[in-house]
Amino acid sequence: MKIFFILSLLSLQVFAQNLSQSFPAGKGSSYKIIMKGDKANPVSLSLYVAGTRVDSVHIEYFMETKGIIPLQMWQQFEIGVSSKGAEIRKGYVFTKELTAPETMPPEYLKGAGGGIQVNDFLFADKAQLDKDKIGIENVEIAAGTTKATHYRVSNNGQTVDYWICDDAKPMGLVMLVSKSEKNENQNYSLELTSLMDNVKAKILPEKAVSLSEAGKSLLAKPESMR
Amino acid sequence: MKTIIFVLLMMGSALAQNLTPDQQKKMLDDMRVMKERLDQLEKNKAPVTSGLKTTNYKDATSETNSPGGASPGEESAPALTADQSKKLMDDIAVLKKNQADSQKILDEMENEDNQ
Repeated sequence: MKIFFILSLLSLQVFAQNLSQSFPAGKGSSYKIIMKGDKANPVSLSLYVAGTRVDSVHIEYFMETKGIIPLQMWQQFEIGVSSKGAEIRKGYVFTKELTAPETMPPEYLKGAGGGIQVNDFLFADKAQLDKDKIGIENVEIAAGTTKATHYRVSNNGQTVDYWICDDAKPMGLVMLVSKSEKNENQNYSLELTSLMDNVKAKILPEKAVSLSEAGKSLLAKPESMR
Repeated sequence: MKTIIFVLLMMGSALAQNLTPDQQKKMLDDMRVMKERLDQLEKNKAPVTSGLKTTNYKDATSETNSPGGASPGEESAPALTADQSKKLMDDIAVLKKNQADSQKILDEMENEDNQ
């Protein structure tokens, strides 16, 4: 859910921009995610630009947990951009337990149900964004202090507050707080710990193979399969 | 900003000595409101800092630049400084010499045993 939310935020920025300039390969952001208020076991999440083409941006993310069962996982998404908007076209997953990156079937590219959906953001226009705008605020985060624009969206019991800042481009996102009384999994927060430069993508899409059972077990079950 | 507030307070203090209790109270209230406004302005002024922390993943041995660094989760070992590199090479040379000396002694002992 978190990833889809962030990707959708990115998609907003992608739209109608010169992609290679707006999303230079190798640049990104690292975040600390606190799930359900568990500050003792934060999850590290890095989002960076793996590459750009004429009509698409490839965003890779790296997730790492350091609990009893440590996990490192990379995922890469191809976000297609056209005059109609932005959409996630392809997705890949990789862990050190897999021999090669694996391609995620389309059903895995849709956001988990019950909360804020990709479409809520993908096709939002500027008027919608302005409607969600709360104001401009100074935010103190692990990466430093900066001025950011605060937005708020709500859907189906989930409320997400997020802060966007030009200083944190290309991702822009510096802080996000999701709350829900209905779904405990939608209670999490995310804050920028560092900007990233010269990052090399881990996943090479041309080397990807079909999704295996091992790969499936790493991913959240798509809504269509529940 | 604090200097301005201090000057205002000093002026207020001097003026207050010649005012009635009601006038003093009103002046103090006005000053309190002014201080609150000044504090608010201080909070809302331009970004405090824009220097967000940045981590560079560029591999020191790589000739390419973007995106030529490491991937998160497999960051390359930090490059040694010139001094650290020289010390490491010296240590290796000493170890190799010690190893050669030890071998030489062992060979001599074997020769003596054979004789």
